[in-house]
Amino acid sequence: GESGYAQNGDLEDAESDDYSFSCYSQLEVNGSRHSLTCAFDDLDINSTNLEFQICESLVEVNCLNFNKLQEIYFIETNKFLLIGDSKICVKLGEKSITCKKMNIVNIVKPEAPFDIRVIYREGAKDFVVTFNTSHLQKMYVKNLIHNVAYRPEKDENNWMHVNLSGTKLTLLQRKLQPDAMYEIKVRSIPSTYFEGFWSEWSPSYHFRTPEKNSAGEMG
Amino acid sequence: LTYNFSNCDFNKIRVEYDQIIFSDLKKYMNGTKSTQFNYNISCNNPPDCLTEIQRVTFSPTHGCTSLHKEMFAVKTKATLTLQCPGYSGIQINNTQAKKNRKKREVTTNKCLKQASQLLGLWRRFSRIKGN
Repeated sequence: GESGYAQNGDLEDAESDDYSFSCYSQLEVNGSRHSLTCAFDDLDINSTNLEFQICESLVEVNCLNFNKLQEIYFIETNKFLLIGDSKICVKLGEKSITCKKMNIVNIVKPEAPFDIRVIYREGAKDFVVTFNTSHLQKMYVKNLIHNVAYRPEKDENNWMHVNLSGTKLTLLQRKLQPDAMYEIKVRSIPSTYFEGFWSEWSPSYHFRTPEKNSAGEMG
Repeated sequence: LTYNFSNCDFNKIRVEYDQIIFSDLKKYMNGTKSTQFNYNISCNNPPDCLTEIQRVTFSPTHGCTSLHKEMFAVKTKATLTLQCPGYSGIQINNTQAKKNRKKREVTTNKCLKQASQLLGLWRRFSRIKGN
């Protein structure tokens, strides 16, 4: 990012400390209000008296100051223009220690999907997986890629993954272990115009596959 | 102040309209039926469309003096400033706007009509290929 503006005097230690930081945005997270969350990459940093500020590509204002919640800096506003770069700075009083140019639409972290369910269809010998996402009702970040992960519970690291843009998926029974307890969860990432990061995982859902019958078939 | 839009990055403007400005314009039109107004402004090519979009968006008219303050207009100006070299945006004639402010609140229907023209112009701009 942009090099810091560390000066002499009270900022002497600023030279040695690493004030690098990361941010993510969530659009329309509260009605039409967006949020921006930043944190120092070095969790051990002494952030007393350090503030964050965003300027440029804002509506009606030049800059906005972040609120501080423990080690997280946070803004909720509807003043993001969503067009063009903004400049986010770490400030000590009026001095900018380090700044970064960021575009709010490129650091989007979607809200986690929810309500994941699995329904077994005996006739079709498959499992229908459905889930929900608040992004279906949003104006801006409507297009996401969802990553569904599932595994047999006794097989800790054997996660299988499927990426899809819809919110419905079918798993064939013959592709799963019989008589086994499965865990399944899903997360999302922006896919069109907007860029950014994976959301948090949804809460997991657990389901059991049928036993094998005498004919060697599940059911 | 007239500006020649020929050197703009039309593709980027299309994407920013599609992903950002369109949502705000629709939100502004909220509740207005698309058939309520007929489109009587057209444009022939991308620069021509942007010229008309700028005129309708930023030039106060009798009965609608504050469209330029709406979120979709602020973002239109931002994308034109970003994607059109040398574009400095229209300086609104503030004295004219202030004088008519009271009327604007009463006759928002005129603004809705203007906004619906913009929907038509942007749709036309988005469809006309040519860079």
